[in-house]
Amino acid sequence: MKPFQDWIDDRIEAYVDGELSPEDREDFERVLAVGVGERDVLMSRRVRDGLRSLPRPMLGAGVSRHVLEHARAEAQSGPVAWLRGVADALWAPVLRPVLSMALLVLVVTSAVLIGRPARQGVTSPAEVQRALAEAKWALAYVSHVGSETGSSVRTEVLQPHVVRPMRQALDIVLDEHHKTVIR
Amino acid sequence: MGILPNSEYRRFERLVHAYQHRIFGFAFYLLTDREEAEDVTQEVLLRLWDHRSDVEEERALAWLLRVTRNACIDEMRKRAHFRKLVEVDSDALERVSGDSLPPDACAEQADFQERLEDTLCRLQEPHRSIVILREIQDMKYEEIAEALDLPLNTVKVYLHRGRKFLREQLSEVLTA
Repeated sequence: MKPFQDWIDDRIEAYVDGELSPEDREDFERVLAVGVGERDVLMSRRVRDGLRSLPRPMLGAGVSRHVLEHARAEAQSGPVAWLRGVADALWAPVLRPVLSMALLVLVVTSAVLIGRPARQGVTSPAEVQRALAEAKWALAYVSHVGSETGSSVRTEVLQPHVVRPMRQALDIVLDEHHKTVIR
Repeated sequence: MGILPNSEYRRFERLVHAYQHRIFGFAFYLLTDREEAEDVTQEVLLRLWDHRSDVEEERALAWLLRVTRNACIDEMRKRAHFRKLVEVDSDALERVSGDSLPPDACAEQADFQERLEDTLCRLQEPHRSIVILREIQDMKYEEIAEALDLPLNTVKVYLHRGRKFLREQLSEVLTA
């Protein structure tokens, strides 16, 4: 008998709430039809209805008023809060359209500037002269360092690997200079 | 008012107006004392203001009920005689019940309701919170599960166990 009572107990509340599956409900109602568990179902309904009809107390207005006053005072204290309040108030009517327009102008300007062709660079003779002079001084320095190092290095190594490449590089630079002058 | 209130304040005000009575009702049935329930409600609402940037509006009710329950449990622990909780503030209930039932509706019903409230106070947590939220506050299972941080099925099982406890305790009155 005990397991059967447990079976009923497990299903009473779900039955009263209409949460049993159709099969379980059918089984349960078959049991109820022979008078078993009927009293428990009645009790369960009464408890549930009694709970649902208990009064729902309302909070007195004083509590929420006090809380809101506290929050409002805190929200309005200090320059940051003041600025935030002003920004919030101005955001929709003023700041949003202004920022949207500024963004539009920025996008259009960027599009115009990016689409424009780049300007061709022209090297003036004075710039070429200056570059040439810098190259000569650099080579002189390298030559000086080379001669210092050369005392400990054999000539047959220096000639092909250092002196000749440097001379060739110098010739190229001088040729370029002559061509520029002739032009 | 010097300046316009900011959006945080407006959002807070909205939440207070939406949930103040629900918080109070929950605290009232947990503590069975109007003044203590008001104190807890005030404390909970001020905590909401302090945590306004952490609490999403959609989850505010669950947050509020969780904090309310914790505050009530703290309050109950503070009481030296826990059993005295069963003494319902009948004056407060009369005030709040207002025009709910005509005086002659039935004395038996009034007696039953009184015993029901007494028995509800003897219900253990979390069954009690679940019964209050589901049956008195008419909340959905999902909302209760979120507020109490419990699985949905556990909420259903606890609700049925809670009601079964009430049913068994009240059987004497019900059959009389």
